[in-house]
Amino acid sequence: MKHRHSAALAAVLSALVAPRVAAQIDYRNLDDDRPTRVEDAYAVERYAFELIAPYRVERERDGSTLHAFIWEAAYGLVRNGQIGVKLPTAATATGGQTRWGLSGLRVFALYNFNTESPVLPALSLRADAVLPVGSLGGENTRGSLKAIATRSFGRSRLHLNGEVGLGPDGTAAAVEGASHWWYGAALDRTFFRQSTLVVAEVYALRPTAAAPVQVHASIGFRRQVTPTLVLDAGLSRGLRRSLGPEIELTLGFSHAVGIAALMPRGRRAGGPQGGSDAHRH
Amino acid sequence: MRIATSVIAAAVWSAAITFSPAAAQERRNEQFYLPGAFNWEFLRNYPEAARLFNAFDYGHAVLYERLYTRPDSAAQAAALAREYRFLTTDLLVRPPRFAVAEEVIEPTYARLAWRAKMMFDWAHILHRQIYDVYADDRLNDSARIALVERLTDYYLSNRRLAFTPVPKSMALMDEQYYSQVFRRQHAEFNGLIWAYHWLQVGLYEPLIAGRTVDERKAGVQAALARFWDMLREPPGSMPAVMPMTATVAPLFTARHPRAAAIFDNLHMMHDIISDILAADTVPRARKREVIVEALREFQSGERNVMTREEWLMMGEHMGGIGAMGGPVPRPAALRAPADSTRAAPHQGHRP
Repeated sequence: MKHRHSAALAAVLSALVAPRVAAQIDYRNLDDDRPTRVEDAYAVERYAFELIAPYRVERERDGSTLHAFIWEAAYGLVRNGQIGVKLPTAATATGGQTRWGLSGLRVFALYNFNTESPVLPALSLRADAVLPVGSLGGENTRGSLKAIATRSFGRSRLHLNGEVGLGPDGTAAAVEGASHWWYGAALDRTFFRQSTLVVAEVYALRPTAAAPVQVHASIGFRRQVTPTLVLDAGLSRGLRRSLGPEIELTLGFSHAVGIAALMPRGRRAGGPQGGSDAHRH
Repeated sequence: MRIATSVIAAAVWSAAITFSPAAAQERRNEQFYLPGAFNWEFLRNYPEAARLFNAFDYGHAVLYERLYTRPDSAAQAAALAREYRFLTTDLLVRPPRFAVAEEVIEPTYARLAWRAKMMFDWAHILHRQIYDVYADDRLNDSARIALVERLTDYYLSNRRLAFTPVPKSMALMDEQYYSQVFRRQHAEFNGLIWAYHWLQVGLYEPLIAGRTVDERKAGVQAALARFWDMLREPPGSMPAVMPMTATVAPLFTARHPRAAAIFDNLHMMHDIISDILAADTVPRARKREVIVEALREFQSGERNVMTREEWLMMGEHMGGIGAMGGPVPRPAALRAPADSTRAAPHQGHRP
């Protein structure tokens, strides 16, 4: 067991230090909460790891403040499909008291059925399970099922997301809990010379079966800062009086890496005579 | 709740359509490239050349988008003339820092021929990674050669997207019912594409021939200068025929014949798709089908192939290095000793 833990740790560390191996257009990969809740329909590339380190701060209507770090890793396990895990830690500050804790553990899988065609948008399904781990992780294991569609219009894209929660409501996790349901739309625009994506969204959300419906609006951007690193930032607000956050800010970095040992070696295919010994010619 | 459930039901229904044979929907099929410390060394050490390739990506993408979305010949010519001006006076002069997301530039074409777009992307990644290997000053020559072969193996392991490493017959490009339409109708833009292809393969030469960092840098600068010369008096100053890798980059071809053949096949396929999109003889409703047929042909290493000897001599049959944009200039210090590694059929044909 100890050996397995060491191997897993080594794999994660290798991924973290693997040098400069991501694509240069990751700024267009609209992940959930990076910076908008609505995401695009595409999975990470096969064999790619995406590591995300975000920070979020929410000022609630009752004057309390929530800070969250939602560590995330996703892996392109199969063609057009990814699995991932989120480990949110949160701090709630109310009346001069601050509580820190783990806010559940989320595991998920996303499968993209098709890229856009002249007729259909790109379509995906995503399933999540949220485990009540940690002092701020809620009291029940919950799941959710989400449908995602993406359609391009020139340099802009429209994304539609709809999600239903599964399982008992109970006390929700402080962050990253599964809502009773939510749906929303986002519109993004790519500025290819600046390697920047700007995005705006609106979504409706019912946190639990008994809670009133909230409506949120957000804006944000994603920008490629190195060939491997994307910076994102966003601003969100509840649009209904006394519902949802007064203001929410988020900032994050995404890094896509690969591990050569997990990739196919390929086999030497025929071609014109030559190859590794051709320098002898 | 009802709306969220309806969205999911609609997605499930659409997914069912996606998998029905009649729909013939394409899968995205993106794959990560081979990791390694060599990645991005070309951008780090030769940013002026690496960034230029980002602008080339735009040029390829916008060409297909305009050819497909502007079928009227006058509108097509005007649109391409605008893009040519934009490219040669703006984007190539101030190229983007990072790769261009081609899907953004060619959204309609990408929906028409996603697999073609992905095959080009996959081959462009191989191009870029080979520059990275040869731009990595920490590697010795043997390590570079072995690593490029490893990259080529990885490239070929993705059978959905790889071009065959066997040289394909030029008749596939020049003797089909739609052939040569694009180069006749849009000579300047076609010359620009061939100038791109000249530089894309020609840049390997100074990176291989240079024995020191300074020699490599001087060689890359000389190749870039020659590229800009080609744009001075178009189309006369541009390549008159498609630059063949074995002719323009004999050092590279001698070391890495599989990659060289892949790049010739890639560049032929670029021209073939331009012709299919531009040709009135291919009805609009059949363009996708004809592109898919051509892609299938260029993945086969069995049919319509050339022998190694035929391939190496093809450049001479086509008019020689002079018709392909000229030799890659070499700084004086490089001229003598490195020539011993040239591909044999081309000795004596370069200045």
